[in-house]
Amino acid sequence: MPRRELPPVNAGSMADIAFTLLIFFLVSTTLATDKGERVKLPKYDPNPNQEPTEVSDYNVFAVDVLQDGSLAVEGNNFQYQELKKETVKFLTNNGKDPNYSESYDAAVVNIRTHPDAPYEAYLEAYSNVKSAFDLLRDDYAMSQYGKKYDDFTESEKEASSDVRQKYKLKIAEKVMDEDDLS
Amino acid sequence: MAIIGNKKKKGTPEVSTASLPDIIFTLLFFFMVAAKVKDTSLKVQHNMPKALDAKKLTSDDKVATIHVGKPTLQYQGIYGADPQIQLQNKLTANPEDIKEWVIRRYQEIPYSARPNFLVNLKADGKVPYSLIDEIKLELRKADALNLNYDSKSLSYE
Repeated sequence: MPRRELPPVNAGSMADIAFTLLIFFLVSTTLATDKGERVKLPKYDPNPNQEPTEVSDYNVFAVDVLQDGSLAVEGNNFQYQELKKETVKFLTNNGKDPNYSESYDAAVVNIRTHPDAPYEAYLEAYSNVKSAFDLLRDDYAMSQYGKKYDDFTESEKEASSDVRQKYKLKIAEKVMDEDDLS
Repeated sequence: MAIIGNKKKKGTPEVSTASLPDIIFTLLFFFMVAAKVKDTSLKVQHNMPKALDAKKLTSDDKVATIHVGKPTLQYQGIYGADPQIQLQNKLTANPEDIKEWVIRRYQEIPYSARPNFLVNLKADGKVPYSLIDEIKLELRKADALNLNYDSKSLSYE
């Protein structure tokens, strides 16, 4: 066979290939964003001298997170999946069932957590209860303003104080102390 | 215009690849500028808990991150296997260190951004709740009231 010189390979299109790859990665890459449950902590009061407010038993929704991470509602074992629905039922009872709240304004959710309970159990309970409050608030915002509260712009949030006033987040939290554990 | 001595060259002319390094350098500079330098390395292990309706943090938030969890194997010799709190590069078991640290973080950010100050708590799901509660108390003492429990999304379906 006669030796023939090979023609040089055209490398000009390499740049195009590289750019295609680059653009593909730029588009498909999402930066790892942090997600989570946002809370607003209450202000610290160094000497709490106020008398504990007495709330009638049926107006308190007692959610207990136990040592092994399981859940008890009003003293009975409970499933996490049902917690949101049950909280909504409790808050929107308006006096129909004597075991639940008389009105939204009087109702309080009390989350008590065992000091050794895993943090994930507490967070699951809290997020379910919070989600129930959000649901009611969003329903109200939807009926009054036609969209969910989270979709409001800053100025709309300013203007719609009724949503915030009407559906305040009413969750009390504590770590179980000796009295609760006995 | 007549081209004198037009020798007909066969085939396509070679594309100059001299500009390729420039392109690569442009890319390099872009990534160098855009990349955020990581100033802390993780010294604790954490597996985030799950929460219903977990929401993304926004770019407006001025975040200070607190990591809580068991030290990684490398550090277990020094700190033991009990949950530790990581504040930047420092590990501590004492929640009372948080107050001072958070106040310092808060003062580092400009005045106008201070209302957006947020503490992101990245804690392992297995940490006992009493520790989380102590951290929350310290944050309240530091008047850092915006808190985010870093978590994965949860769905029951």
